[in-house]
Amino acid sequence: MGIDFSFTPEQEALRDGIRKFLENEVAPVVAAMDESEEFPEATVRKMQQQGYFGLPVPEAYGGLGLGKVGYAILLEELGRVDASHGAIVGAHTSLGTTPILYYGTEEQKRRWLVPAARGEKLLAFSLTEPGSGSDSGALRTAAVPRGDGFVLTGSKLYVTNGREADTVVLLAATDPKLGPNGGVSAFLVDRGTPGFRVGRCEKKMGLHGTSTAELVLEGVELGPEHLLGGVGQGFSIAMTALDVGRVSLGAASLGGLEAALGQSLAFARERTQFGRPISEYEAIQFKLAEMAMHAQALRLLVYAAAAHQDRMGIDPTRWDRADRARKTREAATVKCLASEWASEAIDEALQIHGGLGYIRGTPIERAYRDARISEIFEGTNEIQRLVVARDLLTRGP
Amino acid sequence: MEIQVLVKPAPETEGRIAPTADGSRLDPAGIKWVLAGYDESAVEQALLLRERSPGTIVHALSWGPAPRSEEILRAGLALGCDRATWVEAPPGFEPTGIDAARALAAVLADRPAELVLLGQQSGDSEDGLQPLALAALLGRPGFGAVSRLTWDAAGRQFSFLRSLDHGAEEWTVPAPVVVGLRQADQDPRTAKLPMILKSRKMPVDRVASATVAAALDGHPGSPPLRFSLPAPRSGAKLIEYASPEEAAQKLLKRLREEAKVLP
Repeated sequence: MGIDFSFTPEQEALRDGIRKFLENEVAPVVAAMDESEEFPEATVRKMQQQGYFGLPVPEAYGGLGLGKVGYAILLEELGRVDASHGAIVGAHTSLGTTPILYYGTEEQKRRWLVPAARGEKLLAFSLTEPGSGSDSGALRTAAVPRGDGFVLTGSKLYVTNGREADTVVLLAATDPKLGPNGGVSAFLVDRGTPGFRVGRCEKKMGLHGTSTAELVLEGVELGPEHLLGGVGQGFSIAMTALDVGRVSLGAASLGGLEAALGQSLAFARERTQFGRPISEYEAIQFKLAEMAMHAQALRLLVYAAAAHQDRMGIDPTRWDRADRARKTREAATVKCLASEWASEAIDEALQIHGGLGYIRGTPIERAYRDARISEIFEGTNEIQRLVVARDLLTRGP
Repeated sequence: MEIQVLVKPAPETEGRIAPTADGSRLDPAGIKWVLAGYDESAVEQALLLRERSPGTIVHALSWGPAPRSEEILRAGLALGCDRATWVEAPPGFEPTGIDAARALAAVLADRPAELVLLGQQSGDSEDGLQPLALAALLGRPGFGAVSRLTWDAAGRQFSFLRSLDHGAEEWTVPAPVVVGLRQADQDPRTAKLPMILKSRKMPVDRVASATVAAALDGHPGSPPLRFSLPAPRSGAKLIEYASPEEAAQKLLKRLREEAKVLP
């Protein structure tokens, strides 16, 4: 079997169905959502009922079993229509379901993963703290053993879906001295647990449909069934989830880039200046060509990385070291290039649209604000370059 | 009770279309086919009728070439149709006009459906011919421009509204009947993702073209002389103005002198 870059008829049908749903149901509400800065509850509810919140999760655990390639198709399509909806699905699926699917016990999967994949419960993932962003080992939120369980105290920051989530996959320090090397553990914290509350929600430049919440933990008592994986395994759980997240984020950025290209192409054909459509000017053609070249390159990168993750499967104990390193490097590459090329394309699309692109409420203006965060969250692009460089220096080119 | 719902693939409206090399017809190559808009409403209404009368079978039927007909039937299955039958078109037949009615009627004649439901017109050719041609060929009552379609619990009679230019008629008609639908009671649903996946694995029955050949015998499909695309739009002209009065005056001047639609 050589290299086959085609999608299966099932994947094509899936993309068509997703696109139609998003155009009919989501696209019409996006401008108002952006303006009101409210969580798009109605469309999220509908997406939960129609299978959108468990795409890569195996059918045995309530999902659709479409793997990372199917999931990338979803995020690419979401990216074309609205980054907020993409981020809500991504935070839930990549970062919420992956840790439970890969590291949870059978009982934890039944209790937390199945309802999440079925769309009955919403998940969030919480790593960042006021003093710990890229330096994700420097967590202050402490998980102190008590009885056979833990007591969690501290505060977490910038949690996507934090305000709405039923359960948060939350990283806390079980041994601050060890830092990322065995000192961090992952916990499943349910909304309504005594001592656990949502703090301030940030007002943001973009992604107005998502909540970005502070989470406050004041002596939150958790039983042992809330510990995900082993004590000290948290950092590796988080990095595994982020590998999935970074590829899907790349897919969403690709969708954003494609939308910017589509809108620019249509506008450049229509808009006439000096007696000719501006698409006839080389200055515009070069911008369009650049976008199209980046889109083509990204499609290969995104789906190659997703297909590799599908081949590796969902049992981390069976991964070999080199394969795992390759996966991490691919994810970093995809995330970094996709987010930067998307920002660049949207910036050029705004330029092509001229004054119109700067008008509040136009898709390009919204995309411009929405896109910027992708260079920052799920690991800054500086961190992505470090990941690639470290792998270069240990494994080679 | 059984509903036979007819579905036709129509070119996606946003896609690029072009004539064949000989200029005789629309080139099907590269076209993305979607479920025609009125047929989409027909599927929606069929599913709504089934919801009101559990146990009803909704059977999707399409006449045409592969693979577009099969794909459109799978789209119907994904929306919730119970079964699907693809009636294969003989090579060279474009699935439109009276030929389509003849082929479909040949298959429908043997099917004891209380209701044959389809869009009042297709999304592309827009003949509006099928509902009444099918009804005539099947010897059943037929109606176009129908909305608010309901049936009694036993499926013995149908009630609906038929829209006219000057008003609307209310009808109650005994089954079986052929209905060309103008509008469903609600906007057509979109397929749930699990249903899309399920529809890929469901069987699509195939009726070979030979089976309907007799119905088409002596009626060879004949292509039109020439196919041409609509003339490109000339684009909008913007009037620049400082006051509403100035805008009105400039507009009037253009309507008189350039468009010459005013004296």
